[in-house]
Amino acid sequence: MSEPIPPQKKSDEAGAEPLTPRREGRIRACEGILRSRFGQRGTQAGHRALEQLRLQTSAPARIDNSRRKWLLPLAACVIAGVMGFLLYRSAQPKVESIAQLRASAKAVLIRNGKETAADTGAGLMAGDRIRVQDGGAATVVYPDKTEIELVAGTEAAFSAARSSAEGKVIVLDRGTLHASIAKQAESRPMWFVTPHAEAVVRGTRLKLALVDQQTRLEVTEGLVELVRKEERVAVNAGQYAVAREGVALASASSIIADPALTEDKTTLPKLKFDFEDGKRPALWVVGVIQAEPPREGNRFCLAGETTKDNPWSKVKISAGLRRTLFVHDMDLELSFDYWVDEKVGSLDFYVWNNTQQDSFGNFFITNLAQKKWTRATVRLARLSKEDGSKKMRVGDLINELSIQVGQEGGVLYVDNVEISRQHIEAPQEF
Amino acid sequence: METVRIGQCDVYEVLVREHEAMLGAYVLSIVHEPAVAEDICQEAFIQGFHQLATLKQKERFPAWLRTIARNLALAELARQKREVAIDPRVMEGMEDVFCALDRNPDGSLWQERAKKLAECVESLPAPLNACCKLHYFESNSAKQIAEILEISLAAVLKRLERARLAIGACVERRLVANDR
Repeated sequence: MSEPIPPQKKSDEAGAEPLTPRREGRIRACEGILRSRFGQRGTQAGHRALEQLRLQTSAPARIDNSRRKWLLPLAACVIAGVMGFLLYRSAQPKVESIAQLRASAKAVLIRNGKETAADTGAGLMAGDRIRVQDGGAATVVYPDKTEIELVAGTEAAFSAARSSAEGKVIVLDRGTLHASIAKQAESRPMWFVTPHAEAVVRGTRLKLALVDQQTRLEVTEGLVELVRKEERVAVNAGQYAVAREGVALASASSIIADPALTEDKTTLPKLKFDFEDGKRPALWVVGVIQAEPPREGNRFCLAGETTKDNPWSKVKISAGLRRTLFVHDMDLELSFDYWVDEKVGSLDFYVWNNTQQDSFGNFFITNLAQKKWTRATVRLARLSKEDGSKKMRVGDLINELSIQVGQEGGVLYVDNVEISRQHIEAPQEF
Repeated sequence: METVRIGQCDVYEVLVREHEAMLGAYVLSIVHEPAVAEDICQEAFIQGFHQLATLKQKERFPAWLRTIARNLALAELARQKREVAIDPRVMEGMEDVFCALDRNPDGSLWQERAKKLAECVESLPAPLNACCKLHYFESNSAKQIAEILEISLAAVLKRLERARLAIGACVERRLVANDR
């Protein structure tokens, strides 16, 4: 624990005012706010106080002598109320639970700092946190049938409302969640909170992913408002928005056009490489830039490489072990131009799935056009394990992708490589 | 507030959620130890619930809650024999800042308003900024900071003192001056 810094009478700051007790008080206030990390630290006190108050208020209260005449009618009312409550309670889940775990595998429930296995059927209290480990999943259901599905590698807190204008609050610390949200009261919408923005929801289906330094919101049905301080952006069904520090909030295709994002080398709504500057981009770890087999309008491409251990020519893009190349989704496509010689009859595709910690491939294209530049498009959702035991899941974090020839000694060139969504909405004004 | 007075925890919960960040920061400006501050905040909320009938103006709730917390914090310091009293003018100075942050014309969260201070920290020269973050955000002692930054203890103390004065001046400009 840090010791308080003793206040000094003088300062070497040029022109500083004398340190009066009142100024000292203002500085102490600032120090407190800084120590609390702007109010982010130490928020368990309120939760603990409320728990204690609930215990206290559930104990019988003392009755003032002057009000004894009300005792009998009051007692009758209380008894009737208790009976009614018990009848009601028998048909309801526990009062203190805000939601219930409907399905859970390899998930941990964190309550007041203590970790236990998150068993199916367990009740969730305000402030509880769920962490889903690799290969696991958890589904949380609220009494109004709102469903939240946490995928592997996700951690989220199920908080109480922070003000009277809020309903359910879910704080996503990492990973991806899918939500199907029942109609919420207009005055108390549901809030999803991430470090980058908050989503205000009144009834919809959505996906929220927190990857590296940004939050991605995808809306399947209804309308969601993404909020950050004074910024607000409406995200309609079929659209998505990305929130990242230093980049203005925007929805749908407008984000694709944002140069700050298209140049991003971590997690992109779209990756595109034309190699026209004659330099190998840092993400490409296997492949050599070469003047390409001649065609109009293009100068350079990426040639496949072989190694002593791998005689099959290949190119590989990698974000490194700890970073993400892209977040898998059902509509992601890999498109590229290829040129292969007469030895090559097929191209294989592999990715490293960081979420499932496994390689996925088992997919190749044949009937290749040889010695001729040709455009190919591959749906990444078709990649799987060779024995069919696993499939890529929506929200999985992918950090490597390879394209490799199926025949030893074959020559491969690729160009205009792009990973993008099948359907990109036209820009819309809000 | 009336409905809270008759003992509805659920309604009081909303008040607790709205003010717990503020109260945590306030108590940390008196007692420094996060664990002790948490205990004091917890007790302050409980006492606040039971004493709500004594609160005449509901808009004074945050300041009223701070008074309860302050008394508890000072009692704790006296119990620890670390600091028996704080100059009332120092307390007034603290109130200047917290009252300024209580004002909420745009309905924002207290944490968002408090982040105005972050701008003050970020505006510090790099050496002071680094010391400041290591000390306040990561709870490092001056000695630990000296080891991390490979500078003398005296230099750390000097930088921290300059940082706190600069932050104080910045906050006076940004918050308190606007509140006058």
